[in-house]
Parts: sequence; structure tokens; C-alpha cells
Amino acid sequence: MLDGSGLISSSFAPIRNRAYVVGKDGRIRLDPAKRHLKPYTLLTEDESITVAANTDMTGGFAAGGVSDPAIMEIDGKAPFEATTISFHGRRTSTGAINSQFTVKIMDPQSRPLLMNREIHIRTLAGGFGSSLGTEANAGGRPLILPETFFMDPDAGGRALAVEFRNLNAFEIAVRIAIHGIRYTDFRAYESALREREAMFGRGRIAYPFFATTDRHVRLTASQATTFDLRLSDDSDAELMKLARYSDGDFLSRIVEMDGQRALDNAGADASGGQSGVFMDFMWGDSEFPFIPYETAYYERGTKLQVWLEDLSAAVNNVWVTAIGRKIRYPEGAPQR
Amino acid sequence: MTTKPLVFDSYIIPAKGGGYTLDMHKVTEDYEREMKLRAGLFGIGMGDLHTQETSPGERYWDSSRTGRAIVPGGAGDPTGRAVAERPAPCLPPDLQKIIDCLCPAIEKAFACALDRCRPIITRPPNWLAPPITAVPIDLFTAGAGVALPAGSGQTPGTATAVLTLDVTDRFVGIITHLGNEGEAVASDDIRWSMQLNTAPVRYYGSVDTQLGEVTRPTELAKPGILLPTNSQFRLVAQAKAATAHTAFARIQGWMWAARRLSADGSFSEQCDI
Repeated sequence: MLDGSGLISSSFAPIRNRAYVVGKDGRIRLDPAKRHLKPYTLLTEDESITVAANTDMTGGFAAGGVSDPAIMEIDGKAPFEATTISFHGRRTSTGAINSQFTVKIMDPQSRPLLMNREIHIRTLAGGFGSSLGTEANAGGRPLILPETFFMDPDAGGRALAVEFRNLNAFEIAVRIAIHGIRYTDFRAYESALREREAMFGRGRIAYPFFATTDRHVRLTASQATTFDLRLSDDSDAELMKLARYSDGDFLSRIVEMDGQRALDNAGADASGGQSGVFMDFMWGDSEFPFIPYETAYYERGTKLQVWLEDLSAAVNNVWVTAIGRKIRYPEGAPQR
Repeated sequence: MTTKPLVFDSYIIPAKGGGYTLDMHKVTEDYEREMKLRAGLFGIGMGDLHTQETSPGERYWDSSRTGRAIVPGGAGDPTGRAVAERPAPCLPPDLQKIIDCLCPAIEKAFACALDRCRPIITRPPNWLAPPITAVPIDLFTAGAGVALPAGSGQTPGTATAVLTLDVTDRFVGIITHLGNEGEAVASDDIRWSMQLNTAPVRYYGSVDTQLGEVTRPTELAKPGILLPTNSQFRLVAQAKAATAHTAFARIQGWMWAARRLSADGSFSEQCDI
């Protein structure tokens, strides 16, 4: 397509194998966007965050083990567009790989958090599986955000705050990295924003969102119960990927509160009790999320019910996260 | 549905000075028509078969796949206007100018009526001072207290929820005061943990000291503990050693109905005054 420079380019976006474009004169030339779009990795300060041990209280309760908010700050030179997230974790005393912690990302800009509650790191970022089935860290398979989000230092979007909670009874050191694109040219950034605006309408913004149940899910042995998942009143939500981490196997169903429409035909089992979908048919993890063939789009204020049944016959902590995007109508935000 | 592929070869025309060149007029015209056609007929999302390769970091919504609408002067604008140019106004230029000048003043004057959420604050926000619609929170243990079973040796006893507060749907709350004490023993024999949805609250997740009394709760660091909608707040306690104890506790604060909620507990505070 043509951009302001009068060149035919596939897109301003940094797509692989698109370094060259066809110019007006029909000649192949370097895409000018390549001069000011660069990959960029955003880390916390400090680069490694130590999270104190979680003091185990008996009866399934935990105490302490919450880190201070860590800041992820970009300098004021150029906007940043986040696309993928990866993490790394180790037990400080032994150096053993560890991925048992939760995370909460806060956006100091007017936008709210990227999640409704703390979520398990294995439903937020990739990096825990160098090969299938082993718990070892590796780069290269980060979570691909279903929607990118922008951090513009000129518009107050200069930093994120991240809070970790240790799920172990020992100290761990964690790292998290958000990868993306740095726009060192304002025009490219402007056109990226405009493209976003064209998708969602003037003044609307969209950003990734991690929706989990309103309350933490801790199933007792063979327990089956329903948890609410309320999508916010201030924006529509589109759920695109499903990820989970759990102590053991479980069945699950998602039912829309409005109209009680279920997203499966599991229904009742032979004995008349409720049945559900086996976890692997519904939830992946952040490295290999389960991707429904169709996204689930919900208008503001929708409430979902997540029905879960433990299959492990033991206490089962279940962290389910629906990864998608929010499309927000910013009342109060200046209309452009 | 058939979609004609974009073949630029067919737009090659003889150039004036000899040779060949692209007929740019035809290209842009056809391109625009093509994009509109695609925009109306199909879009591609997650889980669909992509017509191009997808690589990490690539947008899912690449315009050449989804054919989304093109903003005048924007990235995909075939007319090639500068991207920073302001889109053409919908109204006659003069009227547009007048509106541009007056809008800030009008919006400010009618901020509440227009529900624009302008930060015109005449009182502290709801989490610092309860609004008139607030519901008080004053939750305290029964006179007999809550029994905390003894542990054995240095092993702590069973953790017990002393106070539990369910935040009503579409309400947001704040806890500002806490009183916690044991029976007539030093309170450092008891470990307290304030928890939101079973996650310990930072700084208050593991407390083995007395912060306030039931009759005189202490004020927490401002702004207190924000309670998102539908969340569950618990004050949990356990005897730290082989002695059973009785826990007494009290939390104070308020809840209020928020007009608009984010599921994360943040909310459009200016509109809810």
C-alpha cells in the first residue's frame, strides 16, 4: 500500500521478510520504516527481583511473600509497543529452576491494570519449557500478546509497575521481560496509532487483558463448584487464548451468565451430576495456549461462570486465565 | 465470494519518455476498492487460517489480511497524504473551527451532564472519604472470640479465618482500620494475615504483632486496602506454637456502588462521586 512517503509497502508494521518495498518507479528499495523500527526488550529495575519466601500457614493459607512493586521504565526517547512476554525464575539458595509465582502488572497511565487480579506466571509469560514436559527455562517461546499495547513516554505511558507473589516456602529470584518494537520515528508511531484507531473507532483504545476468576480457585478433593468471572463495565472484551496452571487435573465449563449459554455440550453426566470439558481440551498454558477457533467477544459488564471440578482427589489450586483484549471507550479521554 | 487478488503487473503502462511505468491512479483506485470489498466480506482473527505466514511479533490484524477500514491520511491511505495530517473535518470549515474553539469550554461547563469525567473534584475521592451512598464496613468478632487451635512444638496451629468479608457485586470497598488482639497474652504468639482472594495483602500478609485494639482500631497506611468488586477479604490467624489462643479482631471501612467498574477493582472514580 502507499504510505505518506509515496511508496508501495506491504505495511508500516515490522513484518519479517518485508525489508524491501516497491517504489513509485517500480524499483525495489529498502522499506524506509526499517530505519526507525527496532526490536526492544523492556526489563524491570533491578533486572532480577528477589521475592521473599511465602510463609506457609496450615490449612491451605499462605502469608507474606509479596514483592514491592518493581518498575519497568522506558527512557523518554521513543514510544514502545509491547508484543511478547517471557520470564525466568530460580530458587536463590540452590539455583533450581522455579516457576511458582504470581504476577500483577499495573499501568501507571490512566489505563487500569492488564489483569483483574494476580495471575500465575505460567499463564502470563513463556520461558518455562525448554522441552515439552520439563520445567526448565528457555527463551524463544514467549507469550504472544493477542493485542499489542503502546507505551508512549510523552503521553504518560513511561513505566509499568509489576508485583510478584511467591508461592514457595523459600526465596526465589525472578526476571520478566516484555519484548516489542521501538518507534524511533514519530511518524511511524503516529501511523501505528491511527491504524489502531481505524480498527476500533475514534478515541477507543485496545490493549491486552488477562481475565481470571474474581476469586482464587482452590478446590478441595473432588469438589465441583462455580466461580464468577466478571468482565469490566468500562470496556468490551474479546477472549482469544486460554491458559491455566493447576496442581492437578480438572474438568471445566464456561457458561455465560446472561442466558446460561454454555460453550460446550458437556452438560450432565450419566448419574445426573454436572460434567465438563477436560482441562487440556480447553486450557493450554502461556507458551502453548489453547486457541479457540473463534474468539469470544463480550460486551461490557458481561459475567461468565467458570465451573470447575477437581479430578485429582486432592486439594487443587487452579489458575485459569483467559487472554484477550479489551476495547475501551475512554469517557474523559480527550477525543482526537 | 471471490476476491480478485492484487496483481500490480496489470497496471503497467507505457511511460511518456519510453519504457514502462505503473499507472498509479489505477493502482490506488483498485486498491481502495479491493480493501473496501475485503473489509465488508471477511476478517481474519485468532484461529482462522491465515493467508500469510505469521511470525512472532507480527500483528494479528495486518491490514493486508483483514482489510480494515483506512483512515484518511493514515497508514493505509492510498491517497498518500502525510500521516500526521489532521483528517478532514466533517463539518464546514468555519463551523468546525468554531466548535474546536468552543468545545473545551462547553465540555468543562457541562462536564457532569456530559459524563465526561473531567477531573473537577470538589471533595476527596471515594477511597479517601466515603461518598453519601457508601455502606459502612464494621466487622468484628463475637464476644467469645474465635478459637485458634494449638500447634505442637514449634509447629503452628491450624490457620483460621477470623473475619470474612464478601464484597457485593458491583461494589468497591476500602478497609481503613484494623484491630487485632488475642486473649490476655502477648499477641506475638499469634500470626495474622490479611488476604484478598487468598493472596496475602502486601505488608499485612504476615503480621505477628498487635496493630490495634478491637475498641480502638488503628488506621492503616493510606489509602488502605482496596477491595475490588466480587472479591473476598479474609483476616486469617493461627497460633504460632503449642498454645491455643482466642482471636479478637475488627476491620472498618466502607463500600460504595460504582457506576462503572473495571474487573481489576479500578474504576472510573470521578464519575462515581
